[in-house]
Formats: sequence, structure tokens, C-alpha cells
Amino acid sequence: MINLMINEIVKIVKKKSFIIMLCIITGWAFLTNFIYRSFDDLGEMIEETSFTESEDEDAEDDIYLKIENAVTKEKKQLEKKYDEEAWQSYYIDNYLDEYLRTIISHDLGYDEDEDAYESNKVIYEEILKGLEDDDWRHVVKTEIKHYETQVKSDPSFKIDLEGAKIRLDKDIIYGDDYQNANLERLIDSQTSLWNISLYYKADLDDDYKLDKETIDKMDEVNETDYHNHREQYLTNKYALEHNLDFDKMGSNYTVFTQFFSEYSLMIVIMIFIIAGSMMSNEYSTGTIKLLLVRPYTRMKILLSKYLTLILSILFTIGITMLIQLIVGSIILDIKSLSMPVTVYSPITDTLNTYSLVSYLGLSTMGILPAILILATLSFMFGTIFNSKSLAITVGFVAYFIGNIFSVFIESGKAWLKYIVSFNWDWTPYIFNLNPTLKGLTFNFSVLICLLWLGAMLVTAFVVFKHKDINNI
Amino acid sequence: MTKKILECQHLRKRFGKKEVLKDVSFDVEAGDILGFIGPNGAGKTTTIKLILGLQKINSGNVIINGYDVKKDFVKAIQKVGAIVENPDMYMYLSGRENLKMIARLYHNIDKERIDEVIKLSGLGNRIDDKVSKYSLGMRQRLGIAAALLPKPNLLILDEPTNGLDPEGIKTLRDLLTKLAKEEHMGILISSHNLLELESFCNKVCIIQNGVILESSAISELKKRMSDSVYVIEMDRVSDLYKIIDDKFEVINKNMFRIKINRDRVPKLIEKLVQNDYQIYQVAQFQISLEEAFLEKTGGNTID
Repeated sequence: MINLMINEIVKIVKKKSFIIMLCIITGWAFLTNFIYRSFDDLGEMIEETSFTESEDEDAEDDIYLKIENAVTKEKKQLEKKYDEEAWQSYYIDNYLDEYLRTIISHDLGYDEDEDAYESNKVIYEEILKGLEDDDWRHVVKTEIKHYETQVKSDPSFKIDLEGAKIRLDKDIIYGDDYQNANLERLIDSQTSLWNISLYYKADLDDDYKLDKETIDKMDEVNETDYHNHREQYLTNKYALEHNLDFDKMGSNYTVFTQFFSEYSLMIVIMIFIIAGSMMSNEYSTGTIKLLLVRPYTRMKILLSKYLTLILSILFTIGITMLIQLIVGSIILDIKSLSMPVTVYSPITDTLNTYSLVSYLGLSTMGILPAILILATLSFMFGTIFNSKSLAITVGFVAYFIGNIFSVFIESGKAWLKYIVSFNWDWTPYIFNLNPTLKGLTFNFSVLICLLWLGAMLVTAFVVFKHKDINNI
Repeated sequence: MTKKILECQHLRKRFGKKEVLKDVSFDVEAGDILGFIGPNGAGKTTTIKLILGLQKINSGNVIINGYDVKKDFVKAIQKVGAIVENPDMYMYLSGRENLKMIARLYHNIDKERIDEVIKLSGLGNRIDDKVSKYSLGMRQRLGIAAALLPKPNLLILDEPTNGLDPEGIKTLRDLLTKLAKEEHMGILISSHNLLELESFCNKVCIIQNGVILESSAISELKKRMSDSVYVIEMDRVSDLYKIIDDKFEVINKNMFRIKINRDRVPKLIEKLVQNDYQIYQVAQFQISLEEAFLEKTGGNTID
């Protein structure tokens, strides 16, 4: 049996198409990694262009616009003092608006609240002092002082207060680096979660989490919204705490977290070629006779081929990862690979972290049933119909049809859950995510996958057992 | 006592409605070289496929070395070497790699045995070339080497002389004769080239339209076929039809051929002498196996 499998491996590895496929995958890897690298340059370009906002001078009579224009003018005035790359410029650009707006609207006579004006004025002067002294900590401390008084009247200032404290704590100087982005997104998500809690009149706990009862009350859209913000909150909190840059597109890490969406097509092509030609090539070249007149039963011969197919699936995924590792290290980097992967689970409402290696291992386990079922389908057609092209085509058709079925998800039809393509991705179960279809459970999916696999294998084995080897 | 290595008993095979084998039976004993003869489409390859378990037997049995192919396939096939149709090999592998792959499927083949059959094949250095670069004859040699690899006691060769040069045919003939004589191998060999078989087969089995027409020792067959054909040489052959009632065939102006019973030969001579024919020679006509075969099958037709 082992010897039969060794022969099968020799047959696969020595074929030209095998080497060609490996070359294609390597080429694909280079392309993918170059694209990811260029995403970073693209991002910078977008940021640069976003600075050139056009000023709307026409609507002078609009109060709001008048104030905004005055604010912008004032900001530009201030910015002149500092280098474009300095933290002060960044601060003025992003954080000064609130203070300026209160002051300017008062100066223009639109705002009568003297107390707010006075306190704002004091804070504003302090901040300007911090800017001039090139002391960003002074600016943060001033903000904290400001928020501490504000929070008494408006509890939502708690978010800004916490944000400023984190900035001081983690030494995050104002700028446009990833820690600033992490912090901004953290504050954004906290604000959104705060608003959701207000809407449902429920209390957030210290970790910005709502209680289960409130979540159950939500409609689907709001629930998705809530989970999205929770994911953003938890992820950015984790990133801030561990000083991690999850956003950088041009990193080996990012390509690896997107591994299966970038490479699944390449992987299935290679596997369909192997699976589809495994039996049909033996028929078409007549070597099946060479194989069958040996002291092995037909069952053993087919089984050895199938087991070899399973091995080659694992090999293909493994070698593709290896290729990405090498190519990614050349084009992108190698350091980012030590970053952990975070996965938010809407079911437990928690964030789970995995090392990249275990994340890839688990993802592979999740996607393996799909690949195995498609490969078995292709293998079965090759065994029954002797035609390599048919076997490979059928594999692809099934691959695409499986994807097409997802448009029916919304219809909520009951029969959908029996369709194998909704059950063959086990990633949701492994990472505790929502299943592809509502109501699907792991046990049910396993059962459906096993039924499909069983049906295809029994067909292939029965047909092969009784097959007459015809003349070629 | 000779041992039966292969027994085919009442084999029947249908493809759809068409019955391609009708009650085919024959045996191969140790030391036999059985020539399996028939025109295209007679069922030679089908019979071989049934023997090797490549196609299902509708009824009848194939017994190899005492094991039924249908029930005990693995044991039955253990000591069989075969080429079916063409010597199909993995084209993208070298000759040696092909042999190694086959060797891996048996317990008793070591590296020495592989080298031994490579030497027998006469492929020399070309054994390490890819099979796709081989000629048909070379592939045939490799196929025979592969068939001999597991030290079989039954060798089944389907048209092995296809594509072989005269030198290769002679080598094969010597090899097979030696294997049959020294290793008491049973050999079943099918071929279109009947003259080829005639020189080294000891048994012959003629099949047409799925029916065995003749199954006997080659010497006996030849004797039986040629019993009644005589060639008579005389001064002239004119006006023979006036005195001979049997069918005869004029070969040239001095010779004719006639098919009659041995007992009637003196009477025929007497008659000729009485009619003033001068007889120089009366010879029993030795026909080749090919002619005997054509006579038996009535030409090379497929129905």
C-alpha cells in the first residue's frame, strides 16, 4: 500500500505540469506581494491629495460656513509657524477645531455662552503655549484637565478623557503614525458604541460591552453594527496596548492573514489538475493496465490514489505557504510575522488572539473540507469518465457554483442548509464566528460534508471495481 | 507430469448485445509456448484482458497457478507478467524509473533483478532516457523486460513482435524458447505474424469471431492440414478436367495441386498413366501455418 502511494507521488512529482504549476504559483506570489507593497504607496498618495481641500467662499451668509472659513483661516495662520511634518501641524489640523470654533463663533457674536467661552479661552491659550514650547505632553495634560471638567456635565467626554490618558500613558506623540490611527479608531468605535447604548437606553460596562439582553433586542442591522464597532474597539485596544501595526498593507503579515483569499484559486487549480488527471491519465495513456495486473486489489489501488490526493492537498497548501514566506520575505518583510492575529467572535463578544502559525493552521483546517470535497468530485469524474478535461472542468464549475449559491443566503430558504457549499467552510466554527447560514451548527455541517464525500467516494469505488478496461 | 499454469474454461464475454467470446477454452502448461492466432477483432485481446482481470468475465473461469482470477485475483496474478495491446509505459519517466515503479509493487525484486532484466532487454544506456524518446520497438523491449521483472511463471504477450526489428524478433524468439525450456515458464503469445510463431510455438490456438476453431500441437496441426494436398509434376497438364472429377488447381504448365485423400493417390496415378501423362514427381505439399490458418478461417474477415 505504501509502495503504491510512493509510485503515485513519483507520478505526480515527475510530471511537467507539476513543475509548471509551482512556477505559476511563485509568479502569482511575486505579483501579489508587489501589489500589496504598492498599496502602501497608494495610501500615501491619497493622504497627500486629501490636504488640498477647496475652500467654499461663495456662501458668506451661511453662519456655519462663515465660522468654518474663519476656523480654517486661523488654523492656516497658526500652521505657518511650524514645519509641515511637525507634530504641532498635525495637532492643529486635527484637534484644534473644537476650541477654535467656540472662540470664533463667540467673537463673531453667534454664541452667547460666556462661561464656555472663558474656559475654552483658557484651555486654548494653554494649548498654544504647549505648541510653542514644543511640549506635546503639556497639550495632552491640558486636554485631560479640560475633559475632566467637561465629563461632569456630559458623561460622553469620558471617551476623550480616556483617549488622552492613553496617549500620555503610551507616549503617543501627535502625528499620522499607526499608533495615532489605532487611537483614533478606538475613540471612534467607543463613540459609536456609546451612541448605540444611548439609543437602547442600556449601560455599557467598562469594556464598552452591552449586556446580552440588549443585544438580543437589536434588529439585524444594528446588531451587525454593534459587533463591527466592538470588533474595532477590541482590535484597536489590543493594537494600542501591544504597539502593533495591523493596517500596513505592504507587510508579509497582512498577506498571510489574507492567505486563502489570495491563493485559494491557485491552490484549487493545482489540486484539480492533480485530482482530475490521477485516474484519467492512466486510462488515456493505457498505463492503467500496467497498474492493474499487479498483486493488489482494485480497491487498494484506488484507495492509494485517493490517500495520495489528500497528501497532495496538504502539500500544495504547505508549499504555497512556503513560497509566500520566501517571496514575502524578499519583497516585503519578515519581522511582521511575529505579530499575533486577532479574531473577534460575535458569539462570545470577545477578541481571541492566535500566533500567525496557529492561525494559518486553523484556517487551513477550516478550508480543508471544501478543498477535499472539490478534489474528490474531480477525482470521481476522472475515475468514472476517463476524461481529464471533464474532471478538471467539473471541479471548477462546482467551485464557482458553490460561490454563486451565496446569493441565496438572503432568501432564507430552508433547503439551503443542505447545500454542501454552505457547510464546507468550517472556519466560522473554528474561530467561533457566525455560521455562513443562520441556524447551521458544526455537527450538521460535518454530517453534510461526510454525506457528500461518502456518496462521491462510494460511487467512484463501485464504478472502478466493476470497470472494464477498454481498448485505447 | 506437466503442470497446468493457465486454464481458461468456457469463457464468455458480451459487450452490450454483441457476444465477443463464445465458450473459449484452452490451457497453457509449464514449458508451453502457445501461439494465439486470429484475425483482427477475433477476441484475442479480449481473452487476454479476461485472463488478467482487466475486464469482467460474464461466465466461465480463469485459473492461474490453481487460483481463480475472479475470486483470488491477488494470488492468481502474483506470478504473471504481461503486455496487453501496446507496451504502455509512463512516457515522462525513464525506462529505469518505470521498472523501479513496477519493482516497488513486488516483494522479491531487488536492484540486481532490475539490472538483470535491463540487460535482457538490450536497451543498454538508453534505459535512462525518457520513454517518450523511445521507438515502438524499444518500448516493446522495455515492456518485455517489465513483464519479466517479477520472475513470472506465466508470461502473456499481446503482439510482442509489433515494431521489433528482425534482430529484435530473433532475440525475443531465443529468449522465449530459453525461458520455456529452462525455467518451465508458460507463455501465451498472440501475433499477426504467423510465420513468426510457427518457428517457436509448440501449440497453437486459432480463434475467430470469439470461437476457438482449433487448439492443438503445432506439428499435429500442420500434419493434419497438409495430409491431403499433393503437387504432381508431369509433362503437361492439359485436358485434366476430362479425367479428374475432384477439384484441382493448375500451378503451371507442368504442375497441378490437388486435395484428395491419401488412399486415393494410387488410383489417381493409375488414371493419369492410362491417359498417357508422364509423371515426374508426386509430392506431399508442405503448407505453412499461415496458409493452414487462412484455410481454416476462410480468409481474413471480421464479422
